[in-house]
Amino acid sequence: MKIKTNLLNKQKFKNFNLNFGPQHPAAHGVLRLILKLNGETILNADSHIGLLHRGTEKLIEYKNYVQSIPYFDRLDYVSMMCQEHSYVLAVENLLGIKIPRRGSFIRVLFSEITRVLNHLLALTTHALDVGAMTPFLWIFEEREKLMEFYERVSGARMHAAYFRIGGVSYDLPLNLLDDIFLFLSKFKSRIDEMEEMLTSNRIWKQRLVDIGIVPLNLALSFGFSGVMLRGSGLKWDLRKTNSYEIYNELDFKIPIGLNGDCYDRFLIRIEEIRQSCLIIQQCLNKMPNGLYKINDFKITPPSRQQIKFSMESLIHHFKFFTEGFSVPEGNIYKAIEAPKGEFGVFLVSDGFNKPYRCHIKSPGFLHLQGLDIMSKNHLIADVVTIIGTQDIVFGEVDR
Amino acid sequence: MTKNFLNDNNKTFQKIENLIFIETILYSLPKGIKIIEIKNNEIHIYLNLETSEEYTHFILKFFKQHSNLKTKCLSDIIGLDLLNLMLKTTNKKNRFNVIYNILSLSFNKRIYIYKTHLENYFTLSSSSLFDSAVWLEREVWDLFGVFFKNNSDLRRILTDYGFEGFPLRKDFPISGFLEVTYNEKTKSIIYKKNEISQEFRNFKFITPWN
Repeated sequence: MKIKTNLLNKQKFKNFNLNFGPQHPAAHGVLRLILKLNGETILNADSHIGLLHRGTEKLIEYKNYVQSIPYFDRLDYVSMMCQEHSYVLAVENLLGIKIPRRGSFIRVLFSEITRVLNHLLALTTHALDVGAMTPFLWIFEEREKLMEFYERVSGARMHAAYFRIGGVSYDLPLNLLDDIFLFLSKFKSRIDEMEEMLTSNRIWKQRLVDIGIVPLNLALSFGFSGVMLRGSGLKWDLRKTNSYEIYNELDFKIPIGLNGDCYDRFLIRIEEIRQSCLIIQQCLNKMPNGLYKINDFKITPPSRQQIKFSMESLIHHFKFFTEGFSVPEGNIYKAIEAPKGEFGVFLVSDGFNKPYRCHIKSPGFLHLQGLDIMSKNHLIADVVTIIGTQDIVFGEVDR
Repeated sequence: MTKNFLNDNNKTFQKIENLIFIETILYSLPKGIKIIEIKNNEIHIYLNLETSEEYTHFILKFFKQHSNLKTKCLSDIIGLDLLNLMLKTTNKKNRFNVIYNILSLSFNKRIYIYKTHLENYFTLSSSSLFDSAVWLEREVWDLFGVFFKNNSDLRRILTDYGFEGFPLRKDFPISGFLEVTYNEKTKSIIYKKNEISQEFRNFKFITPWN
């Protein structure tokens, strides 16, 4: 008897380390999570990122201001034009130029189309990870229709490089606005269908309510922004507080959540899609005529027609495509309300034609940092839910 | 409970707000601040080179907790290598700038604090004040080599396991030093020295329009 109790006293317990590896269908890209488990509850979640690090910031230091625009498309590869928007606003601010109204309206229109694109993917891939496979298939058809608009205006379905310094690269083609209106008139029923599948679903609610609750002080301390912050009850949206472009002329509401759990954020994203549709409608109604990019040929290239008879245009074209333009010295941080949160660009210029330092502040980086504390004492399946609700895309986390 | 954030389109109101901020800062933190600049309604604060490390930590704590400033959110920590910038004060010693980007949501104001970091010295970590600082400082350490003392978890975050060197420094070449290939004979991944046939052509332009 005595020997047995002695053996029991000397038993040691070790926690189980699970490698939620880089190759995992629910890891939203390349995320290596080392989970310390006690049974199935999580004690610690240590994320190893950097598997998609492409050295974007270093590469931008060796390229022109215009040649750096495609890098931004590829950062968050589901909401392409929003990143370009942030960079282009930063450079325009350093140059001290103001773009024409039509250019501004086109940018806002495509920014909101991008927001719809992103939220559609975020919600349906989240649903797919949790287990609901049908919304993913239905909604991706809508995404294809939106990408058709991208292609009509810029030539590329995804990485458009459409926003340029001084406006946009090409004007809207004929009938595009009519087609966007036709799309919108049928789109609302698609969102209603998706909501019918998920919102009042017992299983969905059981998986999402009270999971990943973020109290407000934690959200601020971790630097959360966007939907993560609005889910905790704070009405903070950069389109309203630090208005850029023509957002102060448009009328839209900002949804906020009460509990800060995954279900609230799901509902907020759906409501944001509906508000974006409202904004797109207002842009279609108010679209002015006029220039779509600034008239200064040192910053935007002249049209090919003009090159054929004007010597100055030819020289401008040559200088623009070989050397680019120089931006006066200074540094600026410009942030916009990207669909995932606050996406910012800190640009340092030394007076020459290449940026000296371009730092990219991505919202996903800070959200992923909070994964550890959000998933304490949850189960492994909840980690998948939380990664999905944080809307992580590794292009922008790793850059 | 919802708060209505004032839209910052009213310029005189902005000026008054900025003045309140600057007054609070200057009267309570007399030493350590070299320049305060206001650009685009945002406040840039340049700290003195001779400030001790504890004082920087104190300044961030002051900004976070003072009721006129309340910058509860640390958005970003940015590293900057001043090696190639044509500054008169750049020498090998004060090579790096660490820029703290803090945001006050109650006052809708962004403040940038520029701190010089000496090479081979340390900066006190702000992870005890802001939880977001842990990963942000890891990134600056990984890419620049700026050491943060008292950071609970200072290891590499973006570069490869076992990577040597600090990529975003200006003297680190864009092509790097090592290349990774898969060797069929040994059936393993090997790291070997970079072999590029043509040197990277970096053109320097002198524009007549400046």
